[in-house]
Amino acid sequence: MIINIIQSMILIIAAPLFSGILKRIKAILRGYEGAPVLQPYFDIKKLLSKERVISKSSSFITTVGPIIILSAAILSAFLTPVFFTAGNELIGNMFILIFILSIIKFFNTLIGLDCACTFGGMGSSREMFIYMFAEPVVFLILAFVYFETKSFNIYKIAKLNAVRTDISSAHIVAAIAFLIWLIAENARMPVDNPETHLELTMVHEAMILDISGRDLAYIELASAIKLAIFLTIFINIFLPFGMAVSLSAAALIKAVILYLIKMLVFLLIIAIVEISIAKFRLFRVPELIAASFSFAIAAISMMYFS
Amino acid sequence: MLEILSAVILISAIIMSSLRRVNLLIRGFSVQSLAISLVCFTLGFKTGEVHYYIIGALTLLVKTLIIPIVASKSVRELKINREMKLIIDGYWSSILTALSIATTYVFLDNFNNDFVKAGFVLMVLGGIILIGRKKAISQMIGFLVMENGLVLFEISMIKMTLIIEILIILEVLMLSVIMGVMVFYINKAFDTVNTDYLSNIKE
Amino acid sequence: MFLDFSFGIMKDFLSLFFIFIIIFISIPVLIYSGGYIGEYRKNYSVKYHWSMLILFLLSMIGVVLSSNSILFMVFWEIMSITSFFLVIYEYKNKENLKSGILYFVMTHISGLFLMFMFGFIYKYTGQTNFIKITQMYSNLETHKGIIFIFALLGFGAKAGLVPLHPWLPKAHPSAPSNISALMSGVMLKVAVYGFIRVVFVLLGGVSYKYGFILLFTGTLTALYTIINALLQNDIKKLLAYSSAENIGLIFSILGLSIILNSLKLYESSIMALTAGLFHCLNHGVFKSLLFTGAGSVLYATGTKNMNELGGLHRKIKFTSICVLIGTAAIAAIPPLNGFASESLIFMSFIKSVIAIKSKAFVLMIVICGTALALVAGGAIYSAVKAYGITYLGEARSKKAENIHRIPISMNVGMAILSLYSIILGVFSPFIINFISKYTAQYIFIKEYRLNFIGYETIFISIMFIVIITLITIVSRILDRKNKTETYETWACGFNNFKPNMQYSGDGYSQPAARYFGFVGGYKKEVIIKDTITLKQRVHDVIERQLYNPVVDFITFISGRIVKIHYGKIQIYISYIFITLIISVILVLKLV
Repeated sequence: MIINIIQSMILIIAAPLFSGILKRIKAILRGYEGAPVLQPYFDIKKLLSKERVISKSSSFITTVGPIIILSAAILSAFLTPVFFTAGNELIGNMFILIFILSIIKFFNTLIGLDCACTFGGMGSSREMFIYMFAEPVVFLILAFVYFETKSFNIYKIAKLNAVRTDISSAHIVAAIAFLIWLIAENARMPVDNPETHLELTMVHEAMILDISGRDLAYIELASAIKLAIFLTIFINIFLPFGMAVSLSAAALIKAVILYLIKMLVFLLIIAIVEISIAKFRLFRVPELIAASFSFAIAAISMMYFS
Repeated sequence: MLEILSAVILISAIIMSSLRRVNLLIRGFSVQSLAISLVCFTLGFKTGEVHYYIIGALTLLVKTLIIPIVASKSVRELKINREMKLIIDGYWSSILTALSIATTYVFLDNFNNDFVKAGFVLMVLGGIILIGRKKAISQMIGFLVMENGLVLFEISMIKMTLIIEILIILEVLMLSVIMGVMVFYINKAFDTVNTDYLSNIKE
Repeated sequence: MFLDFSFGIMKDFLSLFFIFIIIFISIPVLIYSGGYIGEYRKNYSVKYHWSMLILFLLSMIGVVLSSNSILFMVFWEIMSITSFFLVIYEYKNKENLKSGILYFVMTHISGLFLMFMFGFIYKYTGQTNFIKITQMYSNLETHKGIIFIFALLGFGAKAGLVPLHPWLPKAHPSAPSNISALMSGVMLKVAVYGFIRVVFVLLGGVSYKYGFILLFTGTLTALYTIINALLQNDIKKLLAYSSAENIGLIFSILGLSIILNSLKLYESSIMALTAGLFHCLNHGVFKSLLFTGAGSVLYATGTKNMNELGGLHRKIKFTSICVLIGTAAIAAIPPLNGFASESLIFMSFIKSVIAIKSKAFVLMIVICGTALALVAGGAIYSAVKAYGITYLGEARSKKAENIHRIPISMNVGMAILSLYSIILGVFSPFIINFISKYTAQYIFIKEYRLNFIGYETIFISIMFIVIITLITIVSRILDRKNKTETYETWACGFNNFKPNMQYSGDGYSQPAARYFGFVGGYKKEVIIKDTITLKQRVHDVIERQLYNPVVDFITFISGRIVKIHYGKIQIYISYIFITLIISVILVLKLV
């Protein structure tokens, strides 16, 4: 119980670090120095001490939205195993986890429409469009995981997969499907460019254009946590080898180190994907998600029908 | 090892079915053939039959190296990198791919070998590429993907004789050469490699 | 009399559950009506409205309580007719009369099929009493198919399954909003009740073939209607389509339950039926909430077209908060009730697959589940569209600026409904366990105790509230240090803002229209003359392709038949006389 709270706290605190590392890796791969890895923390600190400017068109959504978004992100961090799992936790139903993560999306899209700004509406509409297509993939991935482990509980899934030695080809295909979904859901590169405010690339950034001060800090922090959670879920469902299943110091240290290595590897993969692929046109994003859909279907077929 | 390879084969096939760029299509095909030849080598190593090694070596030579090189060269010379209007666009072709994979696995569920199903899936997906594209080169790639499926079939259950297999591979090589020549001439005659224009020959 | 005409009432779990739904939802809606009717006082009779409304509610309770097929049909027809009169309440508007008549025709088609169905049941069992039919359903064994088909058509027409749905998006916008809330929230559930009563109880379960028919019809309904819902700009039309979508969801889960039941996988079957029943309750709550919200908007502004609205949060703040809760519920946001039943539905889809042996079945179920997941995504899209365009941003027309004050009773009704939505969501594990226990006992006559989600929803809700409170406290502390200032919208420095530059309803769903527009008959026209105008139109494809030809044909036939009317009494008498002679001859010859 206590170790679960501690590991979730670590995840929340380390989340901006991971996005800092991601930015740094991208910078190095592109051949320039880049900001220090702790930059996201400085940004958040700066935003928290700034004054808050809100649009005069905005409503209570802008007031409560960022708070709820951050709370949902933190709550979902508490439902995710990071490097330790006992497998008998009461919490951790995958469905609830995924639906709680969708709170973030719901309020983000409402915030986009809230300040009566064209760009906000545009981002909101696009985000929902992508979300609608991504939903079947989520269903199929959850189905795959359930077929594989006969459980919806992420702690149990992590434990079962941590002690598994053989990996089937279905597992790999499903992991690819999950990775594409992760990229789409976190507004990463082929779907959305998180670095710019260009009208063409506006999906996630467009919705929060008129947010400032602590609200912006909350939303930035929430999206950093969300990325970290998605990667952690990915690691714990598909590659949980070396995860601590008992409370011994050696196992825990090994688990933390392995977790960090896996995290860095996937951040590197995302960075490589981001610098090597151009952003897709909005109407080609469904093609990407459809590819993810067919990966998921293929995984289920290989898992279940063979 | 075999699991990872069969995953790579399927992943490459699925990605190819929604790709638009001819270059990437060729590269995907090359990766797929490499995986298949590795499968052959692994099986050969496991069973110790020379038969597998020969097929693997031929696949490696012809499909991973010669055909992709020839094809990408012609792509570069003819400057046809992108399929403009697909007959089945990316989204629906992925959905179609997904459904056909699922049905294939359901209908072949009494075969206990993964490669049979993977082979069949490759044949179907090759068919989808063949039907959905307009450029002659991508149609050729579709055909070659179908042939890859045949190889998988062959190494997993149906014991074809080695000679037939070698003949098939040589034939594929011939096909790609002929296709290359043909594409060149189509391009010369119509200023495009879009097969739609072939209907202009009709009186 | 040869018919057993006992006036007993049904007191089993199924009836009581649906009576609970009716009463539970109608109380807040009645409170709401108290204020809402005031708007009609000038032009229409309020007494008429109330009497019809009470009769409507009583007839629904009658349908659910009646233990006899004849009584059932009598109440069913009363329900249909009273709801028809309520739909055409604003009779001075010709458009309303038109849609009312479509509703009347559809509801009678439904009644006709049900009449056939009960006729067949009577033919094979010789009973009209439900309890006695249950005792001898072995007689029905070989005739289940025809009865199922009639039940599907009859109850499906009332519930709005594709292709029998076109009355929904016409009748709901025409009816006063409190009536649409009741019709969508409760009356559709009565149709679901009838279906469950006939198929699960009277027939004692049918073969999996029929389960698949139901699963496919439900999925198709959900897909077709959610895409149409997305493309609408009329709030009430959007909500009407979304009701049909939820009905599709409920019917597909019932189909899954039938399949599992016929494969003797009772545990999963009970779970599926529980999910269906729970979703009935939840959909009733949040859809009534949303319809009453739409009613408040209509009351306050006089329009229900999203593209004229916007910025309502300033004038009717309380309504907009209540509707936000409803929107979050329909978008399956935890810990609200929509989430509870929707996650249960998807879980039972996934869980059922594990138990089934046949691979082709699994494939079909997985594909239907995936389609329903797309539907769930579309539901969030349309919910956010409906809420965001209507309530947020700036007013798009004068109508949205000059706002009537909303009576307190309307707000009270909506507040109660939003409270329901939260309670049903947070305490969903208890409710699910309760329903599943009695479902197992009374519908399947098996003993199963199931724990579905466990009690983690409650725990998570508490945690969520704690975290929100903590962050709010932090924000308060931060706000004390830093000022909050209000300026114009920044919008990347663009400072010539006009309200019609906001995203409109059309624009919001345009990306989806580009992919799925063909389902909703989406057409985009750009006319470039002196100014550029963009026209986007949608229509119901099934209505246009299937119903309009039939209507045209009937109009044509009627046009021909009209010619035998001459308006002279003698001619009519001779018609009657000739008919009489022919029938006498026929009777003498044939009997």
